[in-house]
Amino acid sequence: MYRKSLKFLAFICFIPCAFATEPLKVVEYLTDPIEVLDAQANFISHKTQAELPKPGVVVTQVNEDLDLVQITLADGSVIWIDKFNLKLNQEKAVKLPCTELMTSTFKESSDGTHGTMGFGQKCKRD
Amino acid sequence: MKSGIHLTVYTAVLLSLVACKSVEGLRSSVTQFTTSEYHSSFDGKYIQHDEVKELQKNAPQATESKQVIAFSGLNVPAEKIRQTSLVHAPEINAYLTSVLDKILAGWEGPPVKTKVYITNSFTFGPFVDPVGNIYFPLGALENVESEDEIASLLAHEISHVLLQHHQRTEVIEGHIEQTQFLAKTVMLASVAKDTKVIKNAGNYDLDYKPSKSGEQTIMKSSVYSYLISGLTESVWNTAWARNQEDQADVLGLDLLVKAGYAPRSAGHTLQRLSSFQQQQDGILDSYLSEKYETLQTAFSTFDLDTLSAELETAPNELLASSFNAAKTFFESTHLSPEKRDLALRNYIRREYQPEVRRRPNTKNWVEIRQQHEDLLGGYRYAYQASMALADKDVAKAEQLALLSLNQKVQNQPGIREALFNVYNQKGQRTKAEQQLSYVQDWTLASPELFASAIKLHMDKAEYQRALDLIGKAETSLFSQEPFVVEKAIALSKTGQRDKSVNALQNCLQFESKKHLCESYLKQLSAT
Repeated sequence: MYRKSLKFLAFICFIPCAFATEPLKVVEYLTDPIEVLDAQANFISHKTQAELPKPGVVVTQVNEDLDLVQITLADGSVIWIDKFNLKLNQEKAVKLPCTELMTSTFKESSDGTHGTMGFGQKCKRD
Repeated sequence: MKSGIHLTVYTAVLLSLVACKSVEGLRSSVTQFTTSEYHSSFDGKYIQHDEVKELQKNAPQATESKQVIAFSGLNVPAEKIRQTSLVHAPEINAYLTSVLDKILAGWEGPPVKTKVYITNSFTFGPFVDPVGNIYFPLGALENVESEDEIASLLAHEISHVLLQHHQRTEVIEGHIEQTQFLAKTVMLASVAKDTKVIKNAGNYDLDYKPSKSGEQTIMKSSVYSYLISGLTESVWNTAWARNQEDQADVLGLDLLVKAGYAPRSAGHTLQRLSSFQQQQDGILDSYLSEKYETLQTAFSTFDLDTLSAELETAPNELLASSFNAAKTFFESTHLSPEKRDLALRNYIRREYQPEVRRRPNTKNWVEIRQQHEDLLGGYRYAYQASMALADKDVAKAEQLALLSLNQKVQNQPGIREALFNVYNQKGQRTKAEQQLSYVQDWTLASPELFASAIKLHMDKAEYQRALDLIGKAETSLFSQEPFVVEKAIALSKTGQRDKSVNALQNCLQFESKKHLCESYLKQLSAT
């Protein structure tokens, strides 16, 4: 059981570090006008790009199941937009086993915390 | 006389090398991969386009059972066979097949002969071989989040078959051929070095006497083979000319939507491909360099360079150009999936406005993946063991390889291959060989593991066992080419002289080994 949990932890740890460091932002609106949706992905209205915050705006909420993001307009109101109509700074990614891996299943560091394999160094080599 | 024979053999191997195509023209071929909006060249859906309808009506290579195949015959050229081992996962296979069946139900042409295999590779892109087998890497299974993404990847690959794309551009064909051949040359050179024609009871036969000299170099070289093969596979086997890739994108999308899947999932897979390519860059560069150095040493060990004066290009020069080509190609195509994603989104907006609302089904696949975590986890450890080994950390590699052993996977060749390489690297030959005895189904083995096992049997004069394995390799790799020389030797050593000569004559059709077999045949007929 303990081993399974550690495996799951290791799996979770594959998530690229970039996701943890930079906030999700809209890089580009791909249509003009763009569809504005409600939180359940139902169509509400269209907005032109001139009515929207400039690209670079930070996403305030994400609904992964419905593939939606929420952004805040200049007047403080929030809208939902389908990710399909946006280019974001973080899109779907892969998690390679060579990225940082927790390996305490076979090796504990001296202070009892989880050790790492060092594969991250290899992967980061640019 | 002895040195004369060896000189002929070396020259034959080297001539095989220079028979490979030139790497000239790489950069111009790379520019073809800058994808444009292909769908703007036609109206409506691509699946209803005249050129697709024509293909549906006239399947030129239909078999007797009226099934379409993309390649006539079953002898897949050696450079196009899979390079990694297969994974035995019948439930996942059945699931992938059911998804593929849904996709193919939308194809209004003759039934399509195809099969899905899971490969022990942590790359992301599946590929399809010339007989229509789709190889789906573990790396894709690890990373996709929905059945729709799986469907999208399968729809794209099968579209290459449906569109009869297997005649790729000459430059790409050349690179696939050259890279794969170079990776195998050390083993071939070793066999050639230790084989000579001798007189035996009035007949002249091929005699194989393994020497110790090249053994270490071969073992060192094989350490990188698993990784390099997977990476090379991800570069060259997934490389298509621009139009071919674009056509497969739009036809794949049409089939995906027809099967009821969410069109946006095609974009998801392209985003992941882009992410994979960016992360792989450092690894590819590092391992290609290390593999290059190892092979360079191997060439020097076999003194092949001393004969290069007879050739137009020295082997090490060819080696360098081949690896540089792979790196250049890879670096130059980084942004291409991103552009393809944006182009496909425009096509979807034009043709599939209502279907944009569909969302991917994230439930089915995630449940299946969770059920098979032991299997996936085992292979993950084996992959990491190979990485550690290539990183020269043998102790860590051994620990990881041992962690890969669980009931689901412990007798599979991909798992045992990792341990085989670890123990070889530790100099524990008996323990290494023991790993091979645990392999339950050899038809799943990688060409590299087949090569090692066949050579081990031959070195121990177990020629019948070598022949048995060669038979399995031929069947499962869909090719006689990889081990045709070893087959001729083993047949000769088991007293099957006529069959041995037949094997050598059969070998003449294979460009990479033609010169070597020709040289043996000449010596046999001259004696």
